[in-house]
Amino acid sequence: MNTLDQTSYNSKYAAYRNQPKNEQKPENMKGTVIRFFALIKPQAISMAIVCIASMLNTVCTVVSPQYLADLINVLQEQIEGRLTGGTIDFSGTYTIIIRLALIYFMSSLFMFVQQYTSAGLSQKLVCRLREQLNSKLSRLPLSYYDKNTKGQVISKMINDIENVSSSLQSSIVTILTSIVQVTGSLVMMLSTGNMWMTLVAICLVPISGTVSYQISKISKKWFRRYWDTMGDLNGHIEEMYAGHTIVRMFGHESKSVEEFRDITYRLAKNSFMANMISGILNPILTLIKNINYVSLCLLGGYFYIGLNKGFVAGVKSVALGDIQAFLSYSSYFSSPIINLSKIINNIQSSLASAERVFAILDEEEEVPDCNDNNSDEKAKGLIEFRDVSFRYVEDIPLIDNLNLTAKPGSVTAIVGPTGAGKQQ
Amino acid sequence: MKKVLSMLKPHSKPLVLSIIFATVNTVMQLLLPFYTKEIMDKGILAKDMEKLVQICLIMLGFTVIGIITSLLNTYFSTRTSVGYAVTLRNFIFEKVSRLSQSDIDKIGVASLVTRTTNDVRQVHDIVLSTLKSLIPIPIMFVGGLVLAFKMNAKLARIALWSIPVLLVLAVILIAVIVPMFSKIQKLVDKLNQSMREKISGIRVIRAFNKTEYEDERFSKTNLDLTGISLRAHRIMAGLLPIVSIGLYSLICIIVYISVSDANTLDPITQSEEIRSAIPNMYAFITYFTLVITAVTSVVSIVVSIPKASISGKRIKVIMDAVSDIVESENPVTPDEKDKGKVEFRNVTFKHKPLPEKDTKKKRSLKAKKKDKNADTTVKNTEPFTLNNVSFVSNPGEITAIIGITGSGKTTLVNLIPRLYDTTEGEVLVAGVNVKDLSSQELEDRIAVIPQQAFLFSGTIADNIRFGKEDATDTEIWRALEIAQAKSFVAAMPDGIESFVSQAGKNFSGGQKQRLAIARAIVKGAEICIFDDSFSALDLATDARLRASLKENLTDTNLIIVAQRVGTVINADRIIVLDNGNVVGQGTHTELLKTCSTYREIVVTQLSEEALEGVEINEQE
Repeated sequence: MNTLDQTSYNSKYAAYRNQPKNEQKPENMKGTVIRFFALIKPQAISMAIVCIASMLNTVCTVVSPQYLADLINVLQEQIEGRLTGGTIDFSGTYTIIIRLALIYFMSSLFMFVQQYTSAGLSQKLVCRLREQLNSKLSRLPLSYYDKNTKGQVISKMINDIENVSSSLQSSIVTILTSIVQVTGSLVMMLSTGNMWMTLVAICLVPISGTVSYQISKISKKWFRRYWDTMGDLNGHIEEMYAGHTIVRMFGHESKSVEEFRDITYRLAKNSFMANMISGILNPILTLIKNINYVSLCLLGGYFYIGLNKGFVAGVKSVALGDIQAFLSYSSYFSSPIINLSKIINNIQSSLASAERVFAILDEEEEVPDCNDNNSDEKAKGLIEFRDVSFRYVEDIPLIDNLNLTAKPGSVTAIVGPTGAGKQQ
Repeated sequence: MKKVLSMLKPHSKPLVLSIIFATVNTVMQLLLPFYTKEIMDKGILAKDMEKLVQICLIMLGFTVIGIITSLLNTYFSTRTSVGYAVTLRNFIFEKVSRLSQSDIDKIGVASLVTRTTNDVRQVHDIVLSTLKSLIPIPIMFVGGLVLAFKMNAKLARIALWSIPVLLVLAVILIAVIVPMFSKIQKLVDKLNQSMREKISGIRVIRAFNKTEYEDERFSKTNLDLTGISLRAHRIMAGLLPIVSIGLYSLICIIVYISVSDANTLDPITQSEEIRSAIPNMYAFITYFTLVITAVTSVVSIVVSIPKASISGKRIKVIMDAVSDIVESENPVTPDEKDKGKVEFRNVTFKHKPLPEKDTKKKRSLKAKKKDKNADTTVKNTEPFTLNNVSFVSNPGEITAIIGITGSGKTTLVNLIPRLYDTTEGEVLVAGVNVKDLSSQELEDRIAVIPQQAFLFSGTIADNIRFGKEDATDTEIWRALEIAQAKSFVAAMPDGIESFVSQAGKNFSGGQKQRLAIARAIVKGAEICIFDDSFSALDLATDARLRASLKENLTDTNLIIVAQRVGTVINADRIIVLDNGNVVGQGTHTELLKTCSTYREIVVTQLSEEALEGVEINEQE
């Protein structure tokens, strides 16, 4: 396991490696966030609707277990009555049932409004961004395309745009609903007045949080190695396919296949470890959650039985419905906190995407051609260079102070040794 | 898709194990609501503390078993999917390695790379999520129903009515939405392609002022895509709320029925049944929720299938590809005395049309045809026709092939290493038809320097050793010297250990060509083919290089494709090609007299060189 510290090993294909998605961080967090909000400004109303609807939906979700508990408690009383010979009377439950049904209905309605509006919001945003990017590409100077592997970067931009419009928006919604959900369920739990059960429920958070943090830390390392190997694989494939004729003509197929197998073997190892370790997380969290669940059942049962039999005193009475409600609240309370690291990662990666998209949109543009076409008719076909200088890279002059006139009807030849700058 | 999935076979053991553990895990999960009910009923409501602890422990035990099976499922499903990806990738890569150049041109390098990397990953992801998420769904569905019946048969019979309604809803939804998602996938591909083409063909687009046309095309696809994804996502937005409203209404009915049923029970003899009414109801609701969730999650998984099936189809195209070049079953060993000889006997070559039955290729071809920019690239890579070409060239000689662009020069030399097969006539290497030589034998005899000098990532030495694996440093330096590359390599701080970056970007065109030539020289093959490999060199270097080749490679048959007269002037034999026909054959002086095409080429090139530029004032 000590090889883990060696997060990345050297490879001749290093140029093909990319930053793994879950580790991307924006360089200027604040600026990007502000830019993003400016971007969705035209759709501010939709965004507001999405936020409000999702918060209301969460409020309904948080409140509903309490109403269900009320219903169950009333019904349980009726059942106890039936056990002593009475008949069950539903008249007391009608108002509760109607209230509960109303809450369920509202919750579904808000959910629909949120999802419907957010589909529109993100699709329109994607559309707008793609359009902007495309027209930007038309206006970029050619030199932009010459620098490095910009082409590849841009073609990945389509994914970035998706990431910005859907993930970033849903991340914002997740943060808002998480806050409502956590505070809401905490308030609901505390309002039952049962400190012990609340304490046990809260216990879940630091334990699961630590476990999930530790596991994701290890899996992150393996994912990093996985992406590095993926880059090597890409590099090998790209070169071997592009140089196919050479590979064949120099009889290199078997060696290239051998090297490929080597890389895929390494990839398989890293991919297995990465997927396995991140796959362990869920079962372990489920285990912790279930232990907590059972403890709450046990504790609730202890209070219920104890209060009835008299070996517990000093706590507010606990009814069956309250125990059920508690079980719901404990999971509402803990799940956003356990998923916190996932949410943060998502936000960071979508902000990094946003930053890349903005960076391209901010690139300096080519000066547009003069629209007023006042070129002289008699100068038609005349090409003139006046003190022209050109450099690919800032510090290395390529063409310096060139003066040249090519008159129509004459042939101008440009001669020079290799690399003198003829094509420019 | 079937064929692509058949690659799972070598991994059937972990596959089966992962399915088994997924099943056990699902059963464990199904037991939990039952024990919750028991806790409520026999423990809490019965006010039996001992029993409560006991049931809690049993439940904990099942949880632990569930977790263990879940971990084992993760282990085996990951092993299956990862192993599957390896098998698939190795298969594709080996297959592509054996394809001919023309097969590769048909699909395109970029597309082949995507297929080997990204498409395999898509298929891998689908296999993994199937093993982890899809397998439990039917078990959840059936198990949930059975246990719901066990909890309360009367309720289950009533609630069962909701299942057909839900299924019909799901089927309709799938029928509506899956075609939409396939369409979305196609449009996304189209958009990606149009963006890639825009980047790769930016110069052509700008030069021909096609920007507006391209932008319009992009905008149209973009709007189409937005429209359809908006509709698809809005329909999907309705799914969950509708299902949950249905579920909540059902819960209200269940509560009413199960409690009012308690009224019909006798309080004295059936007291236990009355007491369990509410815990039972809870368990019933949980089971029914599981059943309904199972159906809805099928919908969301089915929606992701179009994406994976497109990847599957693209992989299948490679798996089905049959190489044009068929290896001889009874290879002939050539005679030692014919070593280094190349002969063309009445060779005719026509480019084969693409097979029409392959819809995928047809589609991509159509897409290319629509696009003017892509069309030009097709023209450049497609070999041209040759007509009845005959000649002989021997070791120690220089044979030059000259002609205007598109006259078929590259096609002609590509027939020698059998990158393509002749349509009619024979190509003989060392006195044997290339179709009768083993590919190993053929490769050993020929070294090629292609038009586009291609270097691999690694060091200069790595690249040169491509020609000869065990070449010593001295051999490498000597090859570099012959190729006129010694001076610039020696000037680099790390010499032959200097790094060559991605596609040789850190070298100029002329340097790359000279390194590619050194790579071919080090191989020491008896036939050396230079396909316009001096084009990026200035005349002086070109001349020095040719002189050194002639001086050092005395036993080698040198075949040189060129456009410049200066390059071919000293050749022992010049073959003049025009539109696939040999219009002249002989030495420079002979051809000047006999061949009008050659004379034309000579005259135009010399007069061009004679022209003088106007007032060039260039300062360094």
